[in-house]
Amino acid sequence: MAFDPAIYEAARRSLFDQYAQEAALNAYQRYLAETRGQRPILQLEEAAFGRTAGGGLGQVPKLTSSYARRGLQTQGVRSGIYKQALENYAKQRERQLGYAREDLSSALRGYDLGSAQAQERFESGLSDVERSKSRQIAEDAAALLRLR
Amino acid sequence: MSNAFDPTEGADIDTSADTSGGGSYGSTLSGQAALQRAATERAKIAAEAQAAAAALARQQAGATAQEAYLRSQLSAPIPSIITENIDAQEASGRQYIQDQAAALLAQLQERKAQGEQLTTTGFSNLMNYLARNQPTAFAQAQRAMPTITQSGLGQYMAGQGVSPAAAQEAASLANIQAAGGASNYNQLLNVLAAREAASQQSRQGEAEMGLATALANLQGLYGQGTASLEQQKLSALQELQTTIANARLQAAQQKAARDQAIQDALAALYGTGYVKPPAQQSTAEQTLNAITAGTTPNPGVDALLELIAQAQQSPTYSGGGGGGGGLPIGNAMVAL
Repeated sequence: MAFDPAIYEAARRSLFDQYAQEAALNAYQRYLAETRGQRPILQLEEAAFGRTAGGGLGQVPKLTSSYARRGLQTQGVRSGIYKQALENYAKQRERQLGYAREDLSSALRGYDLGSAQAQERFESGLSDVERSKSRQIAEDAAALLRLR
Repeated sequence: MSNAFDPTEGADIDTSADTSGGGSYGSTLSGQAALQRAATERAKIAAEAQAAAAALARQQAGATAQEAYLRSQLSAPIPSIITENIDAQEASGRQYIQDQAAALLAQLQERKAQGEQLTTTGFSNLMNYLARNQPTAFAQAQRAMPTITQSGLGQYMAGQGVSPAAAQEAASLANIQAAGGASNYNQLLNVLAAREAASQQSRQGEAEMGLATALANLQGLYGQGTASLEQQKLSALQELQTTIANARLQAAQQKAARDQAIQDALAALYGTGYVKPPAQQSTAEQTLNAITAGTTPNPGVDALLELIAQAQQSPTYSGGGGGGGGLPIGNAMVAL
């Protein structure tokens, strides 16, 4: 086969297009995953403190107010039930927040890894195109010599 | 009976006058007429004999001339125009084959040089590309940083008189988990980066080996081409040699046929009897003549002649085969 660099340019374009599509899709999926992963974190934070009228988190855990209503936590009163409940709540909250944050990080790392893999495929694909081109040149040169 | 002309035929006829018979006048007249007729006959016969002798002389002279001509033509070499033509054909044929082979070899060398240049350029481009474009996908990928968090309720719990240790412990566990996850991810990236670099080195090595292999392949093809060319050249030369040999053989055959025809003509000429064929020499006579003329060197004969000369000078030489000189001469005869 006579050497035709056009087919390698087509292969190169194909690699660019494929990489661009993969990168765009991966970026969009990462954005969705980040949004989805932030939601439980936000819910856990809101569950603890609630929202202020301005949209921010409240300063006092909602748990406290329910115990105050029952007289278990008032000015100068810190019942053992309240203390135990606050401790359990804080532990559970921190555990759930840790899970949520780790889930989000893992999901985002998965997409980051996918992006790196796509780039690696793109780079190695380009190298393979160059390799095929040089191989074809060598084969064509040999064929020319073989023709005589 | 042979139809060949014999000039001596009738020579024994008696042409003298017979005067023994008759005695009358009439008989005298008749005798005179007979005499006249006889004289006429003698003259006629003499003229015929003279003509016959002249004809014989002409025939012999012609036959001699013919023989001389035929002998001059006998064993004449192949005409130089033919041998020169054959030599010229051979020389031109050889030159043509050499020129063709040289042209094809030059073409082959040119293509080999082009092929080597293309191959070297192609692989050099590949190696330059690989050197310029080191893989970066995993090597430069963003490393994970574990998020270190503090318990969000710690300060509040302390204010409420509740120990934040339990909550902080949960936060620490989450941090440890996050650090482990980040570390695993970074480790994975490091492994992938190392594999990426190894793949690149493999590609570079492959390019170098590919260049060497391709050049060796070209060299092999060039060797095949030159061998094929050489074989074709030898075949062509062999074919030319066969053709030239056939031409020479044909010329020799034609010469032999011509000599044979001359021999046949000479034989026919000798058959007429006008020319006497040359005396035939036996093989021994021919050999002896050749030795005497010195054209055939024979060490045995030389030794024999020397011994004979020595024996003749010796006082004991008896002149025969016996005596003291008999044995060496016998040895010389054996050598001869």
